[in-house]
Amino acid sequence: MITHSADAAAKEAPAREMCGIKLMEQFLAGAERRAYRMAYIATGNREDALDIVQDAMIKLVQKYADRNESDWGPLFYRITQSRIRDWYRRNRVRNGLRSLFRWGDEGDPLDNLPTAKEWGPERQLEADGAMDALDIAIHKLPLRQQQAFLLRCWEGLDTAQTAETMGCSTGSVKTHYSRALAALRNSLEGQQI
Amino acid sequence: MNKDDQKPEFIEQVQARLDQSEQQIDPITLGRLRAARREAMAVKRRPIWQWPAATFATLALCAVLVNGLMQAPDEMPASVDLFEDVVLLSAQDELEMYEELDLLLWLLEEEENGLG
Repeated sequence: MITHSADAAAKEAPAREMCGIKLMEQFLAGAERRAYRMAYIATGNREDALDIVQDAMIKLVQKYADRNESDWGPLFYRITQSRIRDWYRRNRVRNGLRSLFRWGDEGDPLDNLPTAKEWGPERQLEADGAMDALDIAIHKLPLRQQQAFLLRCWEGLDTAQTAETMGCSTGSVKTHYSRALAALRNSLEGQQI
Repeated sequence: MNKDDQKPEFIEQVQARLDQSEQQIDPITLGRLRAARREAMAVKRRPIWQWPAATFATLALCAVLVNGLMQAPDEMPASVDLFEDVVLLSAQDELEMYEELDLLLWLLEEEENGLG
């Protein structure tokens, strides 16, 4: 009887794994567009946005596929946001527009990162060609404000979840979100969204 | 209508526009997203025999090293023989003594046979 149960469990294991793989694929299929749009608004170009989303997908599958299905969403967005921050840091260094050594006395360096649009005319043209007024307005926000706004307003995370995803305090999230909202209302005033 | 009353409406408009933009992604980008997803899922599905070459190279190197260590005792006699050969070849005086000894033994044999 015990052997029979063990055999049954052994037979069920691959079936469970296949089911898990299908669920993960369904999850990614449902989340990939939004993640891409967030990465695209942040970076201003398709290639980098696709790279960010693919990296996030691979990491989620490799590291967290065994986690509870309900954890996948917050984890996926956390990884995606982390990859976007990495992209900003890399570009900051690569372009050399601001010295890394000035960051010491400015608190969280990500709060003061320039927007992607400040990085050069080519990127700006690329962005302008494919973005609408709302995208550009969000794109112009500092990265932390972008993240707070998109996660709270679009992804529907609450303040605590947004703070966890962004890796900062709830107070910072509130500040970034309210500043983002004010900036967007200003820049979109009188425009058709 | 004051500012606070307008805020939810503004957010709703933004949400609606963002949702709409999600559905307007061009087909090429959608295709690449699908490809990215398949690539990510392939990492999970990939059986052991399709692990990256570097992993296999490392495993093969470990196997060779372990095999070499396991076989080391079998090679000891060969090493000892070689050591003895080296000692004999380097001892020129002793070699001459062996040659002279052979000559003396031959002479003794000749005497015993009455040929001397």
